[in-house]
Amino acid sequence: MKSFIDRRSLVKFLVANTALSATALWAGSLPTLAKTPTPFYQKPIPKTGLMIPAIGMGSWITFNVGNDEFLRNERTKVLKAFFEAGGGLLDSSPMYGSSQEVIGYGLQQLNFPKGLFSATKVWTNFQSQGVKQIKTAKQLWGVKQFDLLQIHNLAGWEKHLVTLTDMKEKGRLRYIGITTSHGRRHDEVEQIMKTKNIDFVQFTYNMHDREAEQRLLPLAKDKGIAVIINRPFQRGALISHLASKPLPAFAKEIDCKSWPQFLLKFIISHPAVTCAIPATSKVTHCQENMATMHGTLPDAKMRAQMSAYVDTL
Amino acid sequence: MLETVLDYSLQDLMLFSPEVYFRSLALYNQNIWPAQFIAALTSVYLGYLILGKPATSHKTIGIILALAWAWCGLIFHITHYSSINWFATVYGGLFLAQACLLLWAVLKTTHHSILQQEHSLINLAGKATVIFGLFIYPFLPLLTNSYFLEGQTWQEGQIFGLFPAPTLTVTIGIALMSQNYPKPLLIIPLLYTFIEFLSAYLLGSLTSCIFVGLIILLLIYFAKKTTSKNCQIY
Ligand SMILES: NC(=O)c1ccc[n+]([C@@H]2O[C@H](COP(=O)([O-])OP(=O)(O)OC[C@H]3O[C@@H](n4cnc5c(N)ncnc54)[C@H](OP(=O)(O)O)[C@@H]3O)[C@@H](O)[C@H]2O)c1
Repeated sequence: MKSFIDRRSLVKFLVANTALSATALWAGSLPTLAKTPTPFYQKPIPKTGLMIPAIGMGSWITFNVGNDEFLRNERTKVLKAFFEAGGGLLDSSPMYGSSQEVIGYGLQQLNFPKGLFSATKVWTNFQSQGVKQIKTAKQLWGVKQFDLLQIHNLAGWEKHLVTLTDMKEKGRLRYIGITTSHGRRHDEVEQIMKTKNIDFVQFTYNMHDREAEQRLLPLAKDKGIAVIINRPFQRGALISHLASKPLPAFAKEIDCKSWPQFLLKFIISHPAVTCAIPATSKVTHCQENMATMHGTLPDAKMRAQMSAYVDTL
Repeated sequence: MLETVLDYSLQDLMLFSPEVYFRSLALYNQNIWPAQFIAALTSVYLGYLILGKPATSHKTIGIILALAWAWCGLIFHITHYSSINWFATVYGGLFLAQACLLLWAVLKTTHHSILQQEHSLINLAGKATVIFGLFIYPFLPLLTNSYFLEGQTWQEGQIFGLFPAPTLTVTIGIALMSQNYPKPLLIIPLLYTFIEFLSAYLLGSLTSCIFVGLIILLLIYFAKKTTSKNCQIY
């Protein structure tokens, strides 16, 4: 358990973030932050030190609304709430149906909020198709280049790594990542993390699926790889499971008013985690999730208490 | 892509929420308005041909079926449904292939064949399936509204010829009534019935029971009929 956050590093983290939030405000890079109280949890991307908000947003299912104009506008409201609360990283993939197009629609309506950290994926076994997917994705999102391109579920990863490395060298991409989920292919992910030059890794970690604590999270910390956490709520199942159970009294100590906040705080307080990406189709849920970036962050002792409590339920 | 897809569980392949799916049906109905009028008239006419004059109308019935499959493939799947489901392009291809097969079978049939008049159980099941597909399916949202799936409204009603599920249902009903419906022409319907079942099941809709029923009927039919030498639809 030595990797858990300790009191001293927590204080350093909060001070750094308060300062950084203020700097960001001053620089105008996160204009909507003015509406949110500080401290505001951001975490550094280890390879560059760039700070990104600890809560991002996923788009699987939630943003696949096709040509339905009403729902497109509803999702735009979710995006607006996300950026107003200081959100940054948006995650998508060609696998998610119309999600990229709907994100692009929303971003355009919102005039491309400055805090955006655009992250999508290549999802094919073929290199040439991967190149086409990236080109299409840029058009769908309406961005000139992506901050992060990830290889979705390791599909054709050797080939795409060549493409992405080349793009990065030419300055057409900031970061390269790989993804997996549901605890699949962790051995292979580990090998890639050990042997290849990647900036980000994305996998599943939540209060029930904690396998990543054994090897992937410590390895990411060792290798200086940023970590994105998907399925923080097990696609909502975890929230449904806990909904009827009482929040523990100590949840107040870490400023959690609801189970989703409790679950997210547990994730983002892991020192190796850079960002969690809950998906939602609702403004209120988005605001609730984003609010997790404020208040007290659990330390190692509190994290142990949190997991022990959930294990009893 | 198949290799990539095989990496996923069934649940992972449900790319949209029930809300989005049912709204997309309503949106499609809105977009194709007033095609529903023509489809409703066609349903009545087809019902009359199948149940009233089956012996002499086999070619007309076959052509209507082919057109219905072609519309569903091109307009529903490829043009509409593909915006939320990338599998829809494949489904569209399957529907167009089925339309071609139906047309080919119509052209190849040289002599009159009969939709069976005998009162066998399978024939009765076929008639009931046709009636269900033509005249009850479009009103299912009203019937199921409060019982099976929240949020269904009449705007989501699915009419034969415009939507895959009732088109599939009527096709299967006709096959059950027919003496010599060529078995290869049931491969795509069987496959798509299974797909409809999975989608309904994953969406949590009890309409999945309908597709289980159709699969059972088809399997009984397959088991009962011996391979036909004459490739006739009716
Ligand atoms: N291999 C990969 O690369 C991979 C695999 C899986 C996921 N991902 C990424 O990770 C993202 C997150 O994972 P996920 O979408 O599978 O699941 P998730 O974020 O664990 O859960 C999403 C579900 O939680 C509900 N929810 C969100 N906030 C809530 C709140 N405050 N209160 C109550 N319910 C709430 C949402 O419903 P509402 O819409 O009602 O809010 C939604 O149904 C994905 O969207 C995707 O971008 C990547």
